[in-house]
Amino acid sequence: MKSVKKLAIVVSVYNEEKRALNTVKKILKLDKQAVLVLVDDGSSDNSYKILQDEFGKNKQVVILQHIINLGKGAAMKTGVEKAWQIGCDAVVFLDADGQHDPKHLNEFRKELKNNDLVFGRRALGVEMPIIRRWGNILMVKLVKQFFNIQRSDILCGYFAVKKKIYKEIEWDEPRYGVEAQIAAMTGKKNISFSEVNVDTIYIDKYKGLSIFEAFGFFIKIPYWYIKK
Amino acid sequence: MTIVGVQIIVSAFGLLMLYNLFIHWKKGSIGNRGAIVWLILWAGLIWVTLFPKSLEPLIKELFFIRLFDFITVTALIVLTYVMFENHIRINKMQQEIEKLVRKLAKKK
Repeated sequence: MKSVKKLAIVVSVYNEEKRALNTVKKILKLDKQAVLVLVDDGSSDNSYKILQDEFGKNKQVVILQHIINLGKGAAMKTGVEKAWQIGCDAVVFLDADGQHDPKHLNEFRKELKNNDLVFGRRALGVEMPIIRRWGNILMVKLVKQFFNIQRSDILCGYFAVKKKIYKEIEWDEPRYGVEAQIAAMTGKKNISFSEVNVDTIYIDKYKGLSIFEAFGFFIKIPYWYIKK
Repeated sequence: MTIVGVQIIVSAFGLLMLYNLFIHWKKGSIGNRGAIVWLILWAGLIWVTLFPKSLEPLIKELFFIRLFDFITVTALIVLTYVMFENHIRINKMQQEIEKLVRKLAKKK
């Protein structure tokens, strides 16, 4: 297994003017080699301006902007495509809101030496709001049933992928269902992966996938099932 | 010919929709082909509402018991078709917008 030569860290940002700066500073402090691709997903606040003012001249940072809000999945896709464009051979995804602690980045880097796909795994304990926990449990059961994948935390957006297998898991889910679709594609194509334990941090109770949205995936499962 | 309340309401609605169609056609927001299809649909609704007996031979032929059943089934078919067409078009538009926004973002 080849080790990663050039790693990109893709951070999708949406209305995170209060937290994004701190997250990016933390990443830059911990990882001085990776290219940081920030994708502002059409924020209506000053997120893009703040990031541009602070990191616009930093050569380690690439800042992209969606002129309208497309959703987390679409922002991640823009980030990953940019990473491949600038010659990276692997990416780690994390959220700008501080729910993914950059302290785990090194563990992802280590795991990428022997794996093409590395997922973060949070403990589904009391730190997770109950409605999110139920949504997550329901998705785990559904995806496990249909795609035969053994993962305890399907909805964790903290994960890493190498370029060579990206096409296998390429998603078209533009919003929060992206993680569930990636899990489904991984199971369906029987792609080997490893997992890294990450902290369970919930800052915004109202962001992310709810149990109601999880029910909505019932109708998407057949589509994921036939998708090449 | 006696006209009951429901016929007045439905035909008034049909006329309103015909007027609406005419306005959109004049504004150019609907093409000639689309206008003709909708004209047939709304005019057909008004016709069936005012002259329900004219469809009786067809209803008997298709083994419907009541005219209302026939209209309900036809309306459901039309609605499902329109919904499906809308879904496809919105999806396609969404994909095109996503491509465009991504292209613009990556240009920088």
